[in-house]
Amino acid sequence: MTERRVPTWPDLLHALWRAAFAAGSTKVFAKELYLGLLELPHVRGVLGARIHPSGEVPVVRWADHDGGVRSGPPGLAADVLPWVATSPELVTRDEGQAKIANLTVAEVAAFAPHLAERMREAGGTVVVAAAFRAAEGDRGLLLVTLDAAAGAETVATALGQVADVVIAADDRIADQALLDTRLAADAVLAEISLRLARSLDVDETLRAVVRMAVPGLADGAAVHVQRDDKLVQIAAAHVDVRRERLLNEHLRQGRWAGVQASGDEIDPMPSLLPADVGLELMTSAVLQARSRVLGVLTFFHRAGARRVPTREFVRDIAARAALAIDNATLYSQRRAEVEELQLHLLPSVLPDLPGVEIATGYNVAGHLLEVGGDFYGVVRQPTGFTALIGDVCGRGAAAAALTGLARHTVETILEEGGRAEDAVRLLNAKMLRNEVTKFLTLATITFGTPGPDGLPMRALTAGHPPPVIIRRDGGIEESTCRGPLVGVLDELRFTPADDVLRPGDAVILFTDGLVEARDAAGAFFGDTDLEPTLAALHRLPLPQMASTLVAGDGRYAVDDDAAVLLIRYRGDRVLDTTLPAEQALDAALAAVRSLGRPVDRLTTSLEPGDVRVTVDGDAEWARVEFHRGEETWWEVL
Amino acid sequence: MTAGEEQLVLVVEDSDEDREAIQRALSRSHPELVLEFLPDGDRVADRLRDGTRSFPALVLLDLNMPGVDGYRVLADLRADPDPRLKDVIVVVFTSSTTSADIDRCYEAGADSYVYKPVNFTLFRTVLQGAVDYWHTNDFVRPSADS
Repeated sequence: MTERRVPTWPDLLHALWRAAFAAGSTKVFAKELYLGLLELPHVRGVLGARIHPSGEVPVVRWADHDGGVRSGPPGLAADVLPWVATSPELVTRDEGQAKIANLTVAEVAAFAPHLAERMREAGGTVVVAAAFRAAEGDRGLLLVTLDAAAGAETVATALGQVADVVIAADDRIADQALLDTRLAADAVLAEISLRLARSLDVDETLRAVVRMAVPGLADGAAVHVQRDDKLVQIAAAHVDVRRERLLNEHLRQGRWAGVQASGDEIDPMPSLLPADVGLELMTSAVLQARSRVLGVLTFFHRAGARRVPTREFVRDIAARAALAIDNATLYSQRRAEVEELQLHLLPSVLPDLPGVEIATGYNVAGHLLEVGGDFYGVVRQPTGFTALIGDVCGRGAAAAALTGLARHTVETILEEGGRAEDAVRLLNAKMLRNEVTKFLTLATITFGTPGPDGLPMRALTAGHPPPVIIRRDGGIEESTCRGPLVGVLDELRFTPADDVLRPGDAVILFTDGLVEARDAAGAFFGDTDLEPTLAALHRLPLPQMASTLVAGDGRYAVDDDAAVLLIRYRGDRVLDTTLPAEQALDAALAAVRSLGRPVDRLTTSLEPGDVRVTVDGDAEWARVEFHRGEETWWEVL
Repeated sequence: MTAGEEQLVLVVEDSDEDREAIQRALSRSHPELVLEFLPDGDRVADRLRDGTRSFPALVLLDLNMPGVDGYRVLADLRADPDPRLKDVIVVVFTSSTTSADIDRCYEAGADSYVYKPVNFTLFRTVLQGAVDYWHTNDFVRPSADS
């Protein structure tokens, strides 16, 4: 067994210095310090305290030979208060950076009787005290009680040395904390800047800003944004989930100091929040861009919080957030203008044609701020009607102008009874004559008069994806029409294709934005999946089919402009009447049978009340449609 | 919890780097805390039920872990019949700041939701901020009227 060596005071002091330069807190070496002082001759007890400028004693420890080191023993903070009040009068000399006082325990008893009693219980008869500065304006106090005055001088010297250690450690820790706060603030700014720069979703971005700031830089945060002349609360965060709910509620109910939008309210000020959220202070900064107040960012803090962001930091973060909001708002406005202009290039109303259903879908490119050149239309003609779809190359004002020219040139000729291929040739000549530097693609379907075989159609393409026929049984047929694009060659030679739509058949015209949509693996919608998708959707109402397609059927990302025009031939309408529910079913059944369909019954059941019923089709396909109020449903037979 | 009682923080984190970062961050700011690490979510409940070992004052829980993820761990704790497991303070940390993820955590019963940044200085700061908050409150949820 080896004998345990009691460290000498120089050994201990050396260890304290080393600890002081490695510690993140003076708490780390507090125990060694107290036990070291207890080892000095005649020392019976050691009291240490940290004193706020207000006189409050937030930290107090006691150490003696019987009980070791104890933090905050009951009553000790109160016992030491009289000493704190009297101590300036007790100082007799300086020892290094410490103010030293020497008293007997009897003298202490005169103004701090409880403290004196603790010292007596530990065996002390005299007291040596050292007061010294500590971080953040606090004062440090060490009281050492001894059983003989003989040891007092040694203790006074030691306390002077300890004060040097504690002050150096405090200063270093405070410097490190300041550096940490600055590094953290820089890191928050960097992360927030990245987030702000890559998102145009203002609200989600601002939520992320408050989330990133809590709890690293503040215990709570909130952001309000100016909308319709009011400041609207977008987000609030608190380090404590339960208190976050309370904070949100208090802010909404106005139970706080309110947004400080007047300019310079940056320094911590009372938040006036109810005590249940524990956030007594706040700093706020106005979000301002191009001289307009966009909102207010507020950070909340506990009283005595270790970290409160600097004025520069709060202003910096507010300026960056304001710029991001401004950019996103400008983008939204421009985007709305593009969408509006794009829709102006499309027909607002499609003609109502007997025996035919028409539906359209249009997707405006998700991220672009220029008008695209996709267009479509349906033109009534003396002997039928023509559906057309086109795509001008490029984007922007020039593409929009050519879109208008193309659509109106072709439509005017068609309306006057001209043939589609003549209209396209005329447009081609016009473009070449005017030296238009862009080209376009176009496809048309001209429908004739329905006959016993169905609705005749002639498809024409000028460099455009050919129409696709969706048969009533789900069969898919691409039209065989071919032809060159418009605006490049002097002479255009077309190979039109004739087909017939039977009742229940549909045909789709679309632009390349649809077929070039990609799935997560990078495959194009048009490669192999478009035809099976059309077959799977063929029984849907046309508007639903159109909207499903321009949304990529939920599987393909349609990033570019994409237009679809769907036409379904429904055949002769053999019934269109409004009847009580039971009679409506009987009438529909009779009408279907009149088409030559041997049907026993309908599967539809109707609630009592009047219902409008229509029946369309032929001997092989029939559709019974019911309408009540805004509701429509059908049965295909 | 009294001043002299050992305060244990159980850290559930699958990443070696993050475990080391947490150790470095908290040993510096809160040297009085004892840290214990679990590398996955599977063993959390068994560890907390182990009466032979100290019960943690706080659980730091990574959300994104292979196997049993943080959401599952959190939901299981909150549904546990043992009131100590049900009520233990849980601070979750994750790299997500999306509202949906935060709402999901809140619904699962998190006490704090801490954003885990890539930057170590910031990571240390947010971690210290969260632990400091609960340490200041003696690892007890403040009552509504406090």
